[in-house]
Amino acid sequence: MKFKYIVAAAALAALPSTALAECKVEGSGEVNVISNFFETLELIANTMKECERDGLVVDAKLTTEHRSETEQSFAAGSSPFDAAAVANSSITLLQARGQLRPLNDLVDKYRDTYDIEDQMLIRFGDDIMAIAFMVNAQHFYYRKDLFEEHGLAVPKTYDELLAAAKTLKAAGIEHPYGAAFGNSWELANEYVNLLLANGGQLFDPATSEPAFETPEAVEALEILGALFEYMSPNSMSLDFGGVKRQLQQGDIAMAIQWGDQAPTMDNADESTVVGKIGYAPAPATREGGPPASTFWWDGYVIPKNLDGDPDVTFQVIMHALGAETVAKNNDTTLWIRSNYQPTQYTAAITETVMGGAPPYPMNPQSSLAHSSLGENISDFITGKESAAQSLADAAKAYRAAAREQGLLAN
Amino acid sequence: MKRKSFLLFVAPSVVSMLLLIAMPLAGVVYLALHQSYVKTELVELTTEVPLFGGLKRQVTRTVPQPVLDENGRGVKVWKFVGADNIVQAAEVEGLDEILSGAREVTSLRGFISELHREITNVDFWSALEFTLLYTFGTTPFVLLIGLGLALGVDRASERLRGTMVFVSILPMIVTPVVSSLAVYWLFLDGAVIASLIEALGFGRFYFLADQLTIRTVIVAYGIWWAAPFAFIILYAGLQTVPRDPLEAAMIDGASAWQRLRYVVIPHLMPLLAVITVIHVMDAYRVFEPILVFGASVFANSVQYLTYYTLSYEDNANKAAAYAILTVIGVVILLIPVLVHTYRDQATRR
Amino acid sequence: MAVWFAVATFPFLWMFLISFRKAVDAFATPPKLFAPFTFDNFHHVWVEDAFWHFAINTTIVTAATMAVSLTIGCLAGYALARYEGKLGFWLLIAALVFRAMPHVVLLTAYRPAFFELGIWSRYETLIVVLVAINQPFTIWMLRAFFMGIPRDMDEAAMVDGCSRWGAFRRVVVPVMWPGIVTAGLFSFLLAYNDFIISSQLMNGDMTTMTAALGNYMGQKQSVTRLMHGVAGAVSVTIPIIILVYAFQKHIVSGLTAGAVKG
Repeated sequence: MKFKYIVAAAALAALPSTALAECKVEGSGEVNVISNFFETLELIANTMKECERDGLVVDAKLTTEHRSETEQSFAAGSSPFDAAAVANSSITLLQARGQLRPLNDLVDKYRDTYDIEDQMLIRFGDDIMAIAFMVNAQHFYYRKDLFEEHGLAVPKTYDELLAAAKTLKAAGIEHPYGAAFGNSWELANEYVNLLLANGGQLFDPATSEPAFETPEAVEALEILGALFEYMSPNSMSLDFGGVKRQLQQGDIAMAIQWGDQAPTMDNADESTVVGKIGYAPAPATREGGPPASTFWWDGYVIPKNLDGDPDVTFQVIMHALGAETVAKNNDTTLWIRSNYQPTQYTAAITETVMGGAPPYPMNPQSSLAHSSLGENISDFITGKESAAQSLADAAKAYRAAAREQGLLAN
Repeated sequence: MKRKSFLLFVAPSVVSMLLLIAMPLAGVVYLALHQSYVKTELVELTTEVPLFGGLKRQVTRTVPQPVLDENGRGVKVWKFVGADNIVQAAEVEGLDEILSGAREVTSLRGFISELHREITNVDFWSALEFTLLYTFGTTPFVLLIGLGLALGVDRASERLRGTMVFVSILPMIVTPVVSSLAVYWLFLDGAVIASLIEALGFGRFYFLADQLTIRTVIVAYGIWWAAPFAFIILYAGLQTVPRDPLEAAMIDGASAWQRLRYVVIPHLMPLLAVITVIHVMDAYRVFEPILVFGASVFANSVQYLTYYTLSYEDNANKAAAYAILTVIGVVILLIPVLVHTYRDQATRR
Repeated sequence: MAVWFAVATFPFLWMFLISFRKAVDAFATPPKLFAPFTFDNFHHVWVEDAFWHFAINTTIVTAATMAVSLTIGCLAGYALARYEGKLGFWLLIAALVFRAMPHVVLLTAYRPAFFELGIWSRYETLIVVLVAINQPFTIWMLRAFFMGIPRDMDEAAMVDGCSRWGAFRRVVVPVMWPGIVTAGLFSFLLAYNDFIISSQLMNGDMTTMTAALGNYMGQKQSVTRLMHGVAGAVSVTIPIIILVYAFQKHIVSGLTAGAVKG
C-alpha cells in the first residue's frame, strides 16, 4: 500500500529543471525517514525519493512533532523509522540513551562512492553518530534604511542594541525590537544564547547540578527583560514565525533570527522590506565578548533498532546529501560540503561563529535545563517575579527532571 | 431488556474500548507508578562538530554516556516509585511549602490574595487554575448560546435552515489547530481586530499582552468553538420533541416561555446532560488555543503540561502521571452528572 | 442570532480571503481589504504537493470510521437506553473515564505495541483507534437520543412477534435518523479533523489531509508554506459544506418520519 507521491515537492519544483541525479543506491527494501519540517529538509526528502524504484521504497515523513515521534520510535523494540534528521539538541537524548548506531563502518565503506567529507561527521569520541549537512546560527537582522536615517551604527553589544532601540523608539517606531518570547523553547533559546555569552553555564559538568543561579545568569536574564520594553506588548504570544512576519511587514526594526531565513527577507512575495534588511553577527553581552549566539548543525542519524537495512538507508541518505544537491541548491542554506559557495546571506552566520559563538551544548542535561528555563523565565519578563526567583524556580524544575532521568543522584 | 441481549448489543463497542483504551490506560497507570531511564555514567568525551568551509570544532567535556549491555543496547533502569511521579507532577511539595510557610496575616483578603498568588506561581496549580476557569467559564455560555441558536434555527423558514445550520456550526467543523490559528491571527498587533479598534478611535489595544485579556480571548474562543456542538445536538433534539404535549400546552394557553420551560427543556434534559458531560471533559483538556496563542505564562492548562513533558522532557512516566491527574480531575468534575445518571438509570420503570 | 452568524463566520471569511493572496498581502499590517488575487496557494497545495493523495487517505479513514462507529455505537446506545441493570451505569462511567485520557499519552501506549505487531501506519489501525476513541461519546449521545424514543414503540413491536433485534432494526432505527445523523456528523468530524493521532500513527504518505495541514501550519519557518496551509485549510472545509447540506435534509426528514410514527 505504498504510494509514491511526494509529501511536499515544493522545493524541488522551484528548481531549474535539470535532469535528476542518478541514484546509485544498491540493495532493496523500504527506507523510512522522519524529520522536522523546513525547506532544506523538504529538499533533501525529495532528493531521497529519487531513489525509489522497483524493490526500493522511500518514504520521508516531515512533521513538526518529529521530536517526540523520533524519541519514542528509537526507544521501542523496533523502529519503523530507519533514520531521522536531528540537530545538536535533539541528538543528545538519543545518544545518551545508546539508541544511535555508530556509522563508522558505513562511512568507511562508502567514503569514496559518495565523497563523504570529514567535516560532515559528528563524532562522540571515536564513534561517528551523525552525518551533518548544514549549519545555522541566530544572528542580528536590522533595517539598514532606518539605521541610516537615524545615524545608528550596527550594535556590537546588547548595550548598544538597547541604545539603538531607545533612539528608534524616540523617533516614533513604536516597537523597534522583536523576539520569539511566545514559545517556551524559543524563549529559552534566546536566553541560553545570552547566558553562555555572558560566561554563565547551564549546569556543572561534574555533578550535573544546575548552575544558572549566578550573577551572570541574572544579568543575562535582565537583558531579556530590558529588550521586552522595546517589543510589542503582544510578544509573549509571538513565536519565531510571528517575529519573522513582523520583520517582513516592516513592523519592527531589528530582531535576532535564524541565519537561514535571510533570503526570505528579500522575497517580494513574503516581504515588504526587500533590500532593506542588513545582517550582522549577534551582539555580545559585553565589550569584546563573543556573539551571544550558538551554532547548530543539522544531520541524519540511524538508530540501532531500525526495522530496515542500515546499509541501504545510509546510501539513500548519502545520495541526498551529495555534492550535486549542494551545487543545485547552493542558496538554500549554509551547506557544510566544501563545494558550497558562500553568499551575502550567510556571511553573518560565519562571522557569528568565527567571532566565538559556541556550538549549542550537546548533552542531555542541557536539553532538560533548556526546557525548565523555558517554562519559568517568562514569569520574570512579564514582571510576575524577580529574575533570581524565576531562575530558582527553573533550577528546581531542572533538578526534578534530571532526577527522573537518572542524571542527578539526589 | 434482558441481560443477555444487553451484553450482545454492547459487545462490539465494549471490546473496542477495552482493547484500545482500557489496556493502554492500564499501561499508563503502570508507567505512572514507575520511573525509567537508560543508565548513564560520566565520561570525558571529545565531541567534534562541523563549522563550514572544512573547519571543525572540538569540545571536550564530561558527558553522561550510556552504559551498554552485551547487545550494544542501553541498560534500562525500571524503578517502582509508587505515587512519586504523581506527587511530582501535582507539585505537592511546592504547595506544601506555601501552605506551611510562615506569613504575616494582616487581613483575610490580603492573606487570600497572597496565597492565591503563591499557589498560582506553581506550574501545575496555575495550569489547573486556568483549566478550571476555562471549564466553568465556557460551559454555561455554550449551553445557553447552543439552546438559543437551536430554537432560533428551528423557527426559521425551511429554505434558510440549511445555510443557518452550516454557518452556525462553522467554528466546530474546522480542526482546532487551524481554527485557533485563524482566531489568533485576528488578534495580533496590526491585525484585523486591533486595526478595527484603532480605526474606531479606541486607540491601540494589545489583546495578548496581559493575563486578563488573553484569558478572556481564550475563553471566548472556547465558547465560540464549542457552542455549535451544543447547538447541533439540541437542534436535532428539538426535532424529536413530541407534538402532542406542545399542542396541548398551546390549547391550555401556555406562553412560549412556559412551553419552553415545561415541555421542551424537560424533553431535552438528557441531551443537555450529555452536552455538559462532553463539554466539561473537552474543556478540561483544553490544549490547542494554549499552544497556538503561545501564552503559557498567562494561561496554562494541564493538557499543555502533559504535552510539554512528553515533547521537551521526553518523560513518558511523568506524562502518564499527568494523564492520571487529568482523568481524576475529570471524574471529580463530573460527579454531579454521574449521580444524576445513576439515579436516571436506577429509577427506570 | 445575526451577531452569532457574524462571529461564527468572520475568522473563516478572513481566512478564505487571504488564501487567495501572496503571503506579503495576507499578513499585511494594517490588514488590506483588497489585494492582488492569486490561485498560487491552491495550485501549489493540490497540484504540486499532490494533496488529493491525502484526500484519498482521509476519505478512506473517515468513511470507515463513521460507518463502524455508528454501527457499533447504535447497538450499544440502544442497549444502554433500554437496559435497567446496574451494569449499564458502570459501562457509561467507564466510557467517561476512557474519554478523559489525553490522546498524546494514549499514543505513547499505542506506539510500541503497534511497532511490535507490525500494524503501524495502516488504514485499519488508524480506523480502529479512531472508532475506539470515539465510542464513549457516540454511545453517550446515542443513548440520550434512544431514551427520547418511547419504549412502547419497540415493546409493541415485540408483542407483535419481533425479536429484540427485529424491533431495533425495523421500528427504532427508522425513527432515530436525527440522532444517527447527528452522531454521524460528530464521528465524521472526529475522524476528519483529528490531527495528533492521524499524524503520529501514520507514515508520511499515509497521512490524512488534516494531519498534513497541521504540519504545514505548525512549522514556523516558511510563510509561503503557511499560505499553502491556509489554502489547504480552506479547501478541506468544502467537502464539509456539501455534507452538512446533505445531512441537514436528513434531520428534517427525520422529523417527519418521527412525527408520523411517534
